[in-house]
Amino acid sequence: MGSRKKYLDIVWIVLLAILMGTILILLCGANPLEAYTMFLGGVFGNLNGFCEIFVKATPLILTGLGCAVAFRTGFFNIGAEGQFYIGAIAAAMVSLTFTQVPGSLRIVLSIVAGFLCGGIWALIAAIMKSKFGISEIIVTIMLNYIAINLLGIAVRTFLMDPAGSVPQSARIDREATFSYLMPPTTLHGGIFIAVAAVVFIWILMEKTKFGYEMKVVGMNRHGAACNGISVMKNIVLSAFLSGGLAGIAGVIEVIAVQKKLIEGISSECGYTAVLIALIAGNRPWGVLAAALAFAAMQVGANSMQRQLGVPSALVSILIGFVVLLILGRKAFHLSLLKRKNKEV
Amino acid sequence: MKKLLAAMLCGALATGTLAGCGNKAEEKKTEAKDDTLKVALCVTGAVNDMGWCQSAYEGLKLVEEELGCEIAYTENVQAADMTSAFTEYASNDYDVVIGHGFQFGDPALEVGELYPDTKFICIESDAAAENVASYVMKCEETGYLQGMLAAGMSQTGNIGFIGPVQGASLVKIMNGYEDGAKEVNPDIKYQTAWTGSFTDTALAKEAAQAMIDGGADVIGHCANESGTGALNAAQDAGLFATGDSYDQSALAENAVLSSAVYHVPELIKTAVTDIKEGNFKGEVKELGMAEGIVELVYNKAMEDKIPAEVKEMVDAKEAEIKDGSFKVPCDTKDRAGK
Repeated sequence: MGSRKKYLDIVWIVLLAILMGTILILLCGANPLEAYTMFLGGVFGNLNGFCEIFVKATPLILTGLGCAVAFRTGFFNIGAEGQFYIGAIAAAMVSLTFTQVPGSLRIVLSIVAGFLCGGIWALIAAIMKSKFGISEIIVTIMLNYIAINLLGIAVRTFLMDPAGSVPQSARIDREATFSYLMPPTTLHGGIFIAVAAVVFIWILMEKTKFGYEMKVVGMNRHGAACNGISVMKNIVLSAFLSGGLAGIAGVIEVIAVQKKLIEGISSECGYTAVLIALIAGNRPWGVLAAALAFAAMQVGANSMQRQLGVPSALVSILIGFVVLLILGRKAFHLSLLKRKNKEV
Repeated sequence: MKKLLAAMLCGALATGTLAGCGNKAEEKKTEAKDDTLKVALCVTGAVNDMGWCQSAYEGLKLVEEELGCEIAYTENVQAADMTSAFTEYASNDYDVVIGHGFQFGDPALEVGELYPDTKFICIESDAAAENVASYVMKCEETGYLQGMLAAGMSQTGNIGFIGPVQGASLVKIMNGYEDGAKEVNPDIKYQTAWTGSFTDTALAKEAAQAMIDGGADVIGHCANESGTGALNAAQDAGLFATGDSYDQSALAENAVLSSAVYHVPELIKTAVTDIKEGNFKGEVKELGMAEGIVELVYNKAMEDKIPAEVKEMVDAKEAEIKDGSFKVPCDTKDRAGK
């Protein structure tokens, strides 16, 4: 009964989204059928579009996973964006500084550095929360601004490409970057790291004492404390893990996609991550599914926009609408339930 | 025809959804594949911005009308999405992908390697490879002439120039202006400022006002939209100014002596024509006054204010630039630091 209802929900959401999309496309003066053909063609019509889903999903999975871990412990980390940036800066610094270190080792070093730096960035908020009771929501958002502008300073000063006048770092040499797995598509190995992270977090959260403690802290902080589970330790741990995962997302974006440090490198995926964690109900496998679905929508919508010239704003409106529907469906069921109870 | 196409697409969509929608898109592709070029454009802003991006869009329209190309475009392409936008077009069998701005240089090289059959064109960049070409406008030529004009018109021997952001394509205009002015008057005082914004009109006006207070009596700019502020400051003070990008005479009728006009649509048409006629070369191609891509346009209402000898001097230099006997130095290093 429950699962049937769930599938019905998805059908409704898809139908409503298509309806909304049709109206918007008609308003833009394009042909909706043509637009939807482009949408599907963009996702399944050619190999590159299909692979692009995984490229786009990789940072979303990692940052979404980070948010999910933190949310589970009751630490509302809105700072995945900033942690992503810090990870990206760390990766660029490692890759561009230690040029004498062999490429594959430098990749590993970058990932470790990104994980640590992203983690420490989140740790600041965690310590402020657990020591002084300052809201982590505000602190992480503020840390986002700091990180974004830190990158702005970095690409204009110590990481700026000495050969150019554009605010971006030098190109990382080929041996220290991920190579494309299936040229001519831009698919790279980052997706395997993301999936491995999903498995790791799933085992940690569901199969170990650490994960159990974290969940207990998230569910009832006082109850956990009364039972001898350290609230502070768990919040700090989950924040570190959360920031570290977002940091790795930043590293992968630098060494696998852009191959240099640029401004606006995250495409705001750190904010999308919050949505993904919410849609996934903070479950690791749910994050994987939600991130893939989200990336597929982005790829299809981009293709629609690029080939038909419908405004880019339409894509954002549609994505926002779908998210609203997904999150709103629970409230909808709740109000239905209430009405039913009254009638009875 | 449109209805037929719609009906066909409808059928394609229906069967496509049933049959896993894999092969249908390819069928459509082969249909469109004859000798019409498929041209795609990526711009960083909106295509109705009355400036840089719109000029590229007009170029794309020109290519569609006059060369019969099939066109597509994407607006608001952010730095992080450039590679994926290029890949998307290249993988969908577009023959030409144009990136409008120096930022597209690196992504073009990156994607160009993966898609050797697609030609990539970057405007105002320095990227070049087997299938990547950059088309650069020699804006320094008009900069030089305007600098000469400014120096010729200045009574105080002191002129000012406002730039937006230190990009190579803008620095060269500022430097060309200085070189031109110094040719006329080697002792001229040349004040410069970078406002850091393409759109902040008030800031450009403030900067121009500061220069006027510092004794400048001719103001030049290459500050896109925000340059209007510089023109207004000159007009308010009853001084002269030079315009940039398009004929700006109407913006400050009693101040603008001349405007540097950049024919971006023509530039894009030239680039696509090169490919169509098989003359594509993977190199940085510079086009200037001789090719009619860059032009100096005088303000009709102000022409009698310019002394005959100044006008003759500038005209003579313009002729030299056009016939190639004088080459304006292109210096893209910002001199503000020294």
